[in-house]
Amino acid sequence: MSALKPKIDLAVGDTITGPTRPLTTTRVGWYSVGLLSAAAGRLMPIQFNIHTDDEYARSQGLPAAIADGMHSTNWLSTMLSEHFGEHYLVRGALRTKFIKPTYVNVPITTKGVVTAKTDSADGGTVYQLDVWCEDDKGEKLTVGDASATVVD
Amino acid sequence: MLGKTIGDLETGDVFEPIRYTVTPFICSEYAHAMEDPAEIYYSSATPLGRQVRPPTMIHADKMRILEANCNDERRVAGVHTDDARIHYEYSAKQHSLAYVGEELVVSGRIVERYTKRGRDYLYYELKVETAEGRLVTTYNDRTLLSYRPNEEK
Repeated sequence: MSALKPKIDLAVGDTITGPTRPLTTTRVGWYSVGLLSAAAGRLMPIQFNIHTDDEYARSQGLPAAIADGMHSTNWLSTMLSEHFGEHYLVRGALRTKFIKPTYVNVPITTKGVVTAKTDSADGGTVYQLDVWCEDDKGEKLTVGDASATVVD
Repeated sequence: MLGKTIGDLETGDVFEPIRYTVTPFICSEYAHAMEDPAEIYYSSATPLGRQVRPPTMIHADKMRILEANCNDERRVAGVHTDDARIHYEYSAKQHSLAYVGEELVVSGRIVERYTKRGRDYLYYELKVETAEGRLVTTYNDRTLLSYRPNEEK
């Protein structure tokens, strides 16, 4: 994050983006371990599940292992915090729907577009955005919306 | 019904709240897992002066409260059922930052259990507050209980 309370100068229609990253097996493993460790309060080993094991995923009716939907959600959240800082972290919201499975090694790019800019009751400005993750063909895999309230 | 598996949860079930203290380890571990390089999650060496809980760590809080309320499916401990659960929707609103050293209380309920196109879903409502009552995060979650349709089981 470049600043905790960055100056925001976005207009309706402006876009924000994050980096393009292949969702590798290694990354899937990082999130599996990190989530479990954060929930347990101690370092946990990787578990075999639909995110980490193709055979188990197929036993569940899936064609292959799929990334945890939180992977794309986390990357969208980082994109928002990098652009809005505390305006998102303290007075923000993020909603995501995992509309298509994300398979291993697919390059993922996070994107957002400002859809509205309104006044808040306390004199701030509320930015509303549509956000999504897309693959290298431009197909949206995760979609959602977000907000950040900027109070100077 | 509480006390069994996630697949046994029903509309109206109210979770027994859980409490835990935010530690440096869980903040940095979760932030590393999501590849967020913001220093506020790793140390107090920032203008905030305190290490911060990542906002999407509500996902770990959901795991914690399920672990405490579903004795026969403790996924953090590796106790699974035949069905994998598939997360479908995340919706979090942030109200304040939570810092290392603060005690958090996670509470919540099952707003609705329903069937759509032969598959069962749970719609959760969770809340994270500090022990002093300051609201941190409110959260809704939609999870598919099994990818396989009911008629194929």
